[in-house]
Amino acid sequence: MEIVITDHGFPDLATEEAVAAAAGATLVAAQTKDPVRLATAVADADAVITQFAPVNADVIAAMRRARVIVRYGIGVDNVDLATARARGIPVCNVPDYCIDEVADHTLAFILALTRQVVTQSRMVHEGEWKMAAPPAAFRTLAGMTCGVVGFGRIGRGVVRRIVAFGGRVLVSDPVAKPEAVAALGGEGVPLPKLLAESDLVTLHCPSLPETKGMINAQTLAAAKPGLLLVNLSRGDLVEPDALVAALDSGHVAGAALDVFAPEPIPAGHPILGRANVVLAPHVASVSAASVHRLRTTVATLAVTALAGGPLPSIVNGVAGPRIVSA
Amino acid sequence: MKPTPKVVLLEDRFADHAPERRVLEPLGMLVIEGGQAHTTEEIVELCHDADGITVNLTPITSAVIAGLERCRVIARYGVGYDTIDIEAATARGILVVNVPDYCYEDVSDHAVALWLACVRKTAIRDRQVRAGLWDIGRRDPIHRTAGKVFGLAGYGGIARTVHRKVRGFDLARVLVHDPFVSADVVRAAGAEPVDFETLLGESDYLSCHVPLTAKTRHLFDRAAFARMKPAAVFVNTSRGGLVDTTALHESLRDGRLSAAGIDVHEKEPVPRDYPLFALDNVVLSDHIGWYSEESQVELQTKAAQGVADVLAGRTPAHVVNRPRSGRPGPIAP
Repeated sequence: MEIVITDHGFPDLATEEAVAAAAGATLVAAQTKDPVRLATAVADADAVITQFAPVNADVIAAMRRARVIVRYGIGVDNVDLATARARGIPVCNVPDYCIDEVADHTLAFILALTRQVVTQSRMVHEGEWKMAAPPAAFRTLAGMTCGVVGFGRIGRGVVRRIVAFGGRVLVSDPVAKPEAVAALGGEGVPLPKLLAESDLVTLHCPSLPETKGMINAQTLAAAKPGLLLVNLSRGDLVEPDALVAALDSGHVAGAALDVFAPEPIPAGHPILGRANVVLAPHVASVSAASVHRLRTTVATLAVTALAGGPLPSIVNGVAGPRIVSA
Repeated sequence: MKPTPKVVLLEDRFADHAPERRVLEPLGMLVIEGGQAHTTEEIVELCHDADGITVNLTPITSAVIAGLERCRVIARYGVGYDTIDIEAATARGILVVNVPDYCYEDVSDHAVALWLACVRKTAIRDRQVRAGLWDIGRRDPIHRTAGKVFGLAGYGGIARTVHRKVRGFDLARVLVHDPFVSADVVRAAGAEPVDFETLLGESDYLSCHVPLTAKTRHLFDRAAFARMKPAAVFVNTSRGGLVDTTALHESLRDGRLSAAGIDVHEKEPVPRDYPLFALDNVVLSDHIGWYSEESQVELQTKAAQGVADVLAGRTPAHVVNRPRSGRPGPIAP
């Protein structure tokens, strides 16, 4: 049995190899994001693991024997879920390995924007010791309204943390129950109201056709002047040109971005030169513990599928591992 | 008919004095902005018939106080009052009030901001991304806060506000060391009262909220840092003199501390050759923890409230001195 990893950013695969070896499977790392090479790499795979590579319809069509596609992470927007479903291949994610990390990182980003600690630190390393921003840019959450878009596990973790700071917390999520939001100290509102009334907006929703580009020129124009924007979910929720323009006009006063479209951020992209922006290389989920849990869980899901066992986190409506005749 | 009580605001650095006016004018008091007065003569000319004074950095010397004919209260914008001759004020029956509690929300936000910047390595990652790096951090691991121990040195108003704000995180324990706060108070707040050695030895994160006195100077010295966990994060938003900068620098440089977030410095303004400038595992800011537009308004409002309380015959919230005999009777309507 062969498990193919399309791509990964880990220093080695010792964790995955240990799990695979215990199940009698071998591991191959293709390390490519090129669809043509991917199609070749996965052709004879019994299970496919992917991190950021585009597992599109062609790549899935090339999978002759794959019983499962497992994503290193929560978001599955790099996998064509419908095509996988049509071919009976379940797609699994790991929904709960990094909730504390991302929620912590969100608060780190929010407070970096309100207290200017990252901009100040950057200035120190550029050899300057002066106030990193005008006085009005130093804010305190107790006097602010924070809008949390998305009330999944991470959104809830963010709300739980942020209500303790004493400000008003608005939550927008089409499937969240207002009582559940209120129970954590938030106020459930429609997205337009959240955008109009929030001093700070933080995004915690998946990338879906209806959420892609949700932060664009039009929605930014409807947002409160001086908005602070935080995104650690998916880069394509925000139209980068619209954000840069809003930063330049001052309508958006600051942004903290762990994700971007595209990643990595291309050299010379204007966002890299903006002072009132905090950037990170898609690391909000990372801790030593969360990465270990992610890798162990992903490898275990793959070998479980090879053994035909039940899969706990299928996201594309397939009942279980694809049954493939030997 | 009693004359209208007069309050002079000796302050020229605030954007405006609307917050003081909102407190004092509805009580029928005359508010005079006196920011232009700096010499003894100028101050006395403006204040000789004042009933109350608010003051920021302008020195209120014994000569000034000798020229105050009616003054019953001097309110200091802020915590410290070393710019006021307290002895002379006391002898003249003038109450001095201060505002020790105006920026709890701001400093506590700032302390949590520095803590999380250290833990999540946001400042260094931001510099790396801007330098064109992306797949980074393999040799520079980040550790989760869940299950960790948060230590508070000092448990005054700001530390208690920090405690409230870290409750939303999944920390295992919060330790508190404060010799002036009873163990029962600490336990009732859901934290564990500990001695200083335990605080140093068991905290994964240590946030310092201690006043600077002769006894607390260099509370955090080489021996203290040596007792801390090697992966610990140290945060100081209270006073720079609590920390031996050389010892902190060595601890950070040699990896005996993981990181530090420092808003207050042993020497302010910081010297050009400040050793912490060169370190990657330190997040610095320039004694800005107290500041926001809201805290500024709060400061002005509370200083004015101190004046209003004394002139109305009420007990003010924070009194610095105890004159034996105050000047007679309430003046305010």
